[in-house]
Amino acid sequence: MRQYTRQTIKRNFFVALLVAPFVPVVLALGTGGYLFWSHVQQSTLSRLSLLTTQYVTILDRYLDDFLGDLTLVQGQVGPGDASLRNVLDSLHDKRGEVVDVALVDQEGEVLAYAGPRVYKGGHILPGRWLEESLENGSSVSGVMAGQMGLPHFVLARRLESGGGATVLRVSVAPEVLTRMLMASRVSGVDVLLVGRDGDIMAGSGGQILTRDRDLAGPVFPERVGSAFLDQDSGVSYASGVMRNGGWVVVTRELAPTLFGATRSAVLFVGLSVLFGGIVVFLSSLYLTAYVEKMLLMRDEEREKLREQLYRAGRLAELGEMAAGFAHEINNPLQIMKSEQAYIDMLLQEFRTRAGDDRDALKDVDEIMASVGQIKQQVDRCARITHSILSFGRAGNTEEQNIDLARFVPEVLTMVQKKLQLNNIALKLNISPSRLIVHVDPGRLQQVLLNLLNNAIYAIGETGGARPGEIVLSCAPEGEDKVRIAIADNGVGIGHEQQSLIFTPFFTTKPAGSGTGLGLSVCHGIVTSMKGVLDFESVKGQGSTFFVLLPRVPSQAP
Amino acid sequence: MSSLEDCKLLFVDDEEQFLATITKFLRRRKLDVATAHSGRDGLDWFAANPVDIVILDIRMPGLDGVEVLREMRRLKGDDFGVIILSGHAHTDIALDAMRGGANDFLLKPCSVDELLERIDMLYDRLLALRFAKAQVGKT
Repeated sequence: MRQYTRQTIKRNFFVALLVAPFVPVVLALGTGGYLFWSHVQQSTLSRLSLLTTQYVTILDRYLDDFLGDLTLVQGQVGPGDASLRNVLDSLHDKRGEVVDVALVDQEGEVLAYAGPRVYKGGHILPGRWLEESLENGSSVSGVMAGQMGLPHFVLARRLESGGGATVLRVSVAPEVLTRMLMASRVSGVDVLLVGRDGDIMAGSGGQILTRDRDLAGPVFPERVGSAFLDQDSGVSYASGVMRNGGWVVVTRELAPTLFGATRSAVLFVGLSVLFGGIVVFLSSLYLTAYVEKMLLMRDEEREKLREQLYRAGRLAELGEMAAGFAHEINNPLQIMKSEQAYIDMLLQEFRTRAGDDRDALKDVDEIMASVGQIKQQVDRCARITHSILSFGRAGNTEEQNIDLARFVPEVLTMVQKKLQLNNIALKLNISPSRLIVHVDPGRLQQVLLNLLNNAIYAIGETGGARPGEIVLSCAPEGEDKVRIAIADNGVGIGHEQQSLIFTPFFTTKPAGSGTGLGLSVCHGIVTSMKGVLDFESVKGQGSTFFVLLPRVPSQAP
Repeated sequence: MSSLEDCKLLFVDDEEQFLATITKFLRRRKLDVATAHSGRDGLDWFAANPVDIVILDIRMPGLDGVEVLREMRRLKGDDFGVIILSGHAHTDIALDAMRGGANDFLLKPCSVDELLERIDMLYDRLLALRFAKAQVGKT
């Protein structure tokens, strides 16, 4: 169950770590992308508008120039084709694109003509050029075929003479416009020159007077003069109206070009996001693993603490229960003892009465030996119950400040004889700093003697395999604790027994040698001193039991 | 031991079998033994009969040993001795009993010989005290 919970936490944590950074990134990218796209679009349209204005200016200049030339040659114009031939020649010298020249009256009657066809005595179809030039002084217009059968555009200028106004009309081959647009074309941008009716007069793509209106379709008629992006086709358009002829210059740029401008930006942003993503992913992975390790450690610590609490609780419970048992058992033991005393007395009397009856005396001795054994076993039970009662004892204690440097050697004198008998060397290491503890000396003595006796027993169990040695050391532990350690090189404690060692009635000694209460009593005493009793042991090498006690600051009295 | 034959003993304990055993043992030794199964019975006997030494259990149903002891002291002052014989080893209980006027404290199970020894010692002291009082009374 806990495993599952940890997995869930781990997964959620990982997802949160991974997703959280992407939310602001996506928002920033979205906003940035939108702004960037708008900017690119805007700048594209501005560029197209600028280009359009330039084309309009160039073409207007050209036509102004041409009309200016017509003004210059008007002195040469006279009745008769010969004079116009001169005009045509002089214009042709300067502008190879001139096809023909005609002089017409206000009705369109041809007064003189020079060019590939003869119109003498006939009409040139009057059109807008005639009206406009008579009205405004000059006119520019496009013609798809006309009487020549060739597409061309027309420049006309009104001439004033004594016999009323006449109009000088010049037909021009439209290729000149196409060439101009092709010569000044900009990569990726199409330029179209469109007539007032929407016919394409010329285009940078080589178009010459075509009716293919689709090329500038979206512009006409409503959006002339504005710059915009046609969403359907993805083509940006800009357009401007010329002074001459009311022609419209249309520039268009295809969307792929537009995308091309953003491609590197998109690539850069994409790479950044990818790299950032990898970093976020790796750091999420690392952090998740770290957090999982922390969780695992916390769980283990909690489990350990729980086990300690459980053990402490179980010890206390056992102690209480055992004390209760001891009380109850003391009463029957008392009866047994009394009965045994009574039997003893009766046997003594019987022995007196038996006199010289040897068989009877022998039987009495046997019974007395048996009763003696019962007495011994009752005494053994009594020892156990008394130990239990001292284990559960909460009675008054006399706590006082004890200097361990003086106290410990005193305790050692009590086991000196036993150590000598068992041929055990004792080393005493007491830290030179003053070590004062505030405890009941009787109880501390009980603990130390118990631990020393256990150490002597453990060394005895090796059967003299190595010279016995006990090291007793007292040293400060941290700021506020004292550590008394008793290390022996005895048989050590097996791994499976280590968890049981403080449990009441647990003993490794043969039946009758130990009550199994010593260490649990010591544990209870040390805990009541707000200390810790613990041990380290390696089977076959020895054990170290240590008592950690609160230290009284040495400057205190 | 001979002087003990004049000593009037009262055992107060809720363990009937213990009382039966100790009675047959001590009576065989010609001692004057009375028993009571509860604190109340003990007090009744004590009030109605001369008693030299009371051997008193602590934990009993009804009146407990310390209460019985206080009542006895109230009735007859220090003209008798009290030995507490209890299965309860608590120092607090022992102190409580001693403050209540007990002369000695023994932990069950104890050997009958030890019990008799303590009774003997206490009886000697009691006799000495009575003698001293008698002397003071005469003068």
